[in-house]
Amino acid sequence: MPTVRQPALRLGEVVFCCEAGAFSRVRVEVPGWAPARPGQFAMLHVEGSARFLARPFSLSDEEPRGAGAVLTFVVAPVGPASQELANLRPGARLSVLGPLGRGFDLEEILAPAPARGACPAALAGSPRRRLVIVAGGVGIAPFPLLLRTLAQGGGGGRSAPVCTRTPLLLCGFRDQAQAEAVSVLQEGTEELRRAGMGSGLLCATDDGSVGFHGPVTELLRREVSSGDRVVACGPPAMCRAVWGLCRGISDVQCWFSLEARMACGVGSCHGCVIPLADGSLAKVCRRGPVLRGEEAFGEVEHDLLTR
Amino acid sequence: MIFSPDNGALSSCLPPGTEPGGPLTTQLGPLTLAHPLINASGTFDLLEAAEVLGQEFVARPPVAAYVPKTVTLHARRGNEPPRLVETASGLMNSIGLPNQGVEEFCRHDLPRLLGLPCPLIVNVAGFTPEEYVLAVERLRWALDEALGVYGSACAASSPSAAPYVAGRDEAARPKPAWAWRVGLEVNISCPNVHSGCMSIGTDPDETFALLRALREVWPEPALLVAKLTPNVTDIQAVAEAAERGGAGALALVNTFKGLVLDPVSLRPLLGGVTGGLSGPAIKPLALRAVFEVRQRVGIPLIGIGGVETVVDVVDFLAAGASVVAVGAAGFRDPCLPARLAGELGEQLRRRSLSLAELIGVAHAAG
Repeated sequence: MPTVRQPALRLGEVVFCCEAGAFSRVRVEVPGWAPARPGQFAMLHVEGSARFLARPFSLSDEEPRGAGAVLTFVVAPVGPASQELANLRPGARLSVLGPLGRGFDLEEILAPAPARGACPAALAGSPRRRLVIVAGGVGIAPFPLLLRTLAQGGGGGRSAPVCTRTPLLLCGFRDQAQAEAVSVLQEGTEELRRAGMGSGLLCATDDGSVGFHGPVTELLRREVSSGDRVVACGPPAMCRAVWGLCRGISDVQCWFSLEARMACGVGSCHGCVIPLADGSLAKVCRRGPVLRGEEAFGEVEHDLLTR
Repeated sequence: MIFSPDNGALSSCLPPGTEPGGPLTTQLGPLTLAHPLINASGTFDLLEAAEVLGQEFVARPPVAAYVPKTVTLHARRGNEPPRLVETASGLMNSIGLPNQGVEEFCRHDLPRLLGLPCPLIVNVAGFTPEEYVLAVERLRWALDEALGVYGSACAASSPSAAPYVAGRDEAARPKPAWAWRVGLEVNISCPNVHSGCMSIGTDPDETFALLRALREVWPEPALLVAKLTPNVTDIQAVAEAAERGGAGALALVNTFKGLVLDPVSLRPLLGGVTGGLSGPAIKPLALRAVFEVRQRVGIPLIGIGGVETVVDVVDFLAAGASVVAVGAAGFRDPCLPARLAGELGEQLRRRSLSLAELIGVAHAAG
């Protein structure tokens, strides 16, 4: 009987590493890797590194290989640990603990509108949701796997494929160098096209060098409409702005992938807590990293949220 | 990391040669440990890890005894984030003892933890001596109820019907039937709370008085461990006071109080302002503490501080510790204590030493 693969600490080997605009795309082969959900993360630690702790990185893509998978991580080289990871060469080894956390549950996110009244036909006729993806900078990381999952039916084979109208991708970047990272979405969008779904993509840059000149939330303001389902990952200010904008529109729900300084990734250290809307502290590693807007931000004043 | 050959996953948390009764078996007061590697309180949550990584962690824990996170009399929120940051060869934390309180702990966690196949060492802290006593009393009632007492006329009936009364004839005092599987560690060393804890553990007289009071509610032969702070001028004086007060073992050391500034704002980075330093950076400091305390007290020592490799384990044992706890390094690899136990067995074979011969060898002449 085959054993069920579960999250564990495993040894991975870098098979490919390339630039993706201002970021790096690192591919790591991990034998025995348990299939992940988009939005989940892994704790990475380079073998022989001078860094003491592993660091959490959002899983960007996952392709089955043998009894494991080749994982992709999109890394912004902002500190010593991420620079070390971004500069790895094929053959380098690292420990990979994962998949961890609660990711994006596409079945829940894209659940059709509940049937009104007693007529069962109402459900079949209900409009399909549109998924709107908002990424800020390296917050683009979790979405290649999300697109692939969407193209493959989204529900992990547990039930009927999730339905979506053509998903819309809104990506915000600082400048042209960062914006080249949009290439990481290419495989996912191609897979969507092959699945007959297609996708729309709009970019914004802070300096206007690519696409819309301004914040990605301005693109969202123009595009979002009632009934949409929004998933977002990016700087805290962007996430709060997305929430401030969407919570005022009827029947728009939001999910955010959040981050925090983290030591263990499995709930041991109590280090990664963030304050939730109800004032309680929650571990990002266990309760998140994906949280609903209501949980994470709640009734924050609209004026404070938009910039 | 421990890898099974087939799929690269960390496999058994129990490497060969560390079975109960094997050559690495060690004694910590009344507790028999299959090997000398445990976890430091607050750095490993077995129940959380099992939920994420599989029930294997509960069935075969990677530690020879499990020390849960500190429990206090009342539930605590803990400090505001950010709570941790990596520093050179170390980790600064300001967690602030978040926990559900002793009542919830006894109701929810304790029954599961008593099912572990290894001894349990419950860690308790307080903000006044009375809080320590009340929390430990509550814990003891739960243990008496779950596991029973002996040596008293009321032993067969509900233990709560005959609570221990201080000053009663010693022979009539009911003895805990669970002393061989549950111990108590008192945290008198957390640097991240503003009263109690470290303010007690930095004063030999207060340490003595607290241990003396706790012995009334946590009687012999049950294990009573005092976890000491290194943030003192003379750790030997505190260690001696704890031993005189009735401690059956000492755990040393807790974290070193420190400060990290935000590089941009130049204000304190951690939500709790100051924090505690752990990790390889503190190992020589912790080793010195164990070495010096060994010279002055006779009770067993649990060595803690920057343990990352088997060399560190051997060092702490040689300096006089009978048991070694893995702290922050376990965040990277939850099975690290089990791996180090396996490697310790190899080291002993290579050096042709028994565990008993290794313990304290640094103090031998020549």
